[in-house]
Amino acid sequence: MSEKNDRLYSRQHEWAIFEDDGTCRVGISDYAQKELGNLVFANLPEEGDEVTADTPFCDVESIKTVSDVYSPVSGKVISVNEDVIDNPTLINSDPYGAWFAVIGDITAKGELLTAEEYDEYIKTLK
Amino acid sequence: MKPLIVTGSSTDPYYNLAIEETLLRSSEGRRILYLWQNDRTVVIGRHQDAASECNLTAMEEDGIRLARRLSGGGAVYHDMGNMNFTFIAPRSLLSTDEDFEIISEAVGRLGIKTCRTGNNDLGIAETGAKFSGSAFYQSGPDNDSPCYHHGTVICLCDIEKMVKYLTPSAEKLSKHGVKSVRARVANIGKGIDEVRNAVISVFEERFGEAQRAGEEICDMKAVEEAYARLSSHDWLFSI
Repeated sequence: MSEKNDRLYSRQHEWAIFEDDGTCRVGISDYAQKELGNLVFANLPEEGDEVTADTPFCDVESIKTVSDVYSPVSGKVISVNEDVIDNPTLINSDPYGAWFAVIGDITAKGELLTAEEYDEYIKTLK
Repeated sequence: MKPLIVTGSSTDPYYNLAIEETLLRSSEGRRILYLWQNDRTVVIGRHQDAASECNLTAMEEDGIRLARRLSGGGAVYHDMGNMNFTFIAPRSLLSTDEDFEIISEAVGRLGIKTCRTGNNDLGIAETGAKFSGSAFYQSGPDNDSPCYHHGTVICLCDIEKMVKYLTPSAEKLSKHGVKSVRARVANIGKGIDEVRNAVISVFEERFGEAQRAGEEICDMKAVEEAYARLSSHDWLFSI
């Protein structure tokens, strides 16, 4: 098991932690950051933005590429991680700590996998 | 399915970027090569600040357009002496090394030996000067997500103008945004038509005979939507 057990994962390689207050904290998986390589920019959403499950809601740029990042839920952005905007390499060094955004007012969820299921899924991609 | 080669006829950067994006989003696993030219335009990377990367005052005086692409990397200047290529394929099939080989082989057939300069660039072997820079966009991280690798082939560009427009005024530099890496560039000194034909030949030798088309193969409603977005003040100036 290489992925963290305390959260769920999307097939687009985002992780999601559902908090007790009904919000959802979102970031990208260790697999995703390795595939992207060194991150140079994180274009995060703004507070108040409406996001839709399984639809791009922000994007990141690495030395290799720009890649869209998908929202695991539908709702409204209630906070973004300014530390990641100032220092995108945090995504490489601590992908499970470097959250992108917290989403509230959740109205729908995309299909999400457990860590074990996600681990199996990424094995099929290699 | 046969690969597709689209040769652009427009020189409007917003239209061309809209065609490129529409080809990507409707590619459905198909391998596509798009060859196109922008007349006198500065194109900045997805996460760059325009005022930090180019001289907007000089551009306005001389009627130079500003465009922003979906991919990352630094600012470039295009004129009719430059040819752009875009390789579109699912992530699992797109190999930037292979794309670079195609461009190198094509330019090599015109008598110019090339070398890799840095990760994303090609240079003229004799001098090391860069004639091709490129960038990438992936619409998702999965193997079947459509991606593109696009870049320039500097054939007969006005390099003096390039330097003029890509030199920002020092007081406008912003702390946010991706900074361009300045490199010594040079023309390969070959005509656009012969470069285009050489690239098409090498591409077809590698991937098989392709269907040929113009921009009209795209869904024009999708192109119009992308055009409006890519030419909007918001897209060009907010970061």
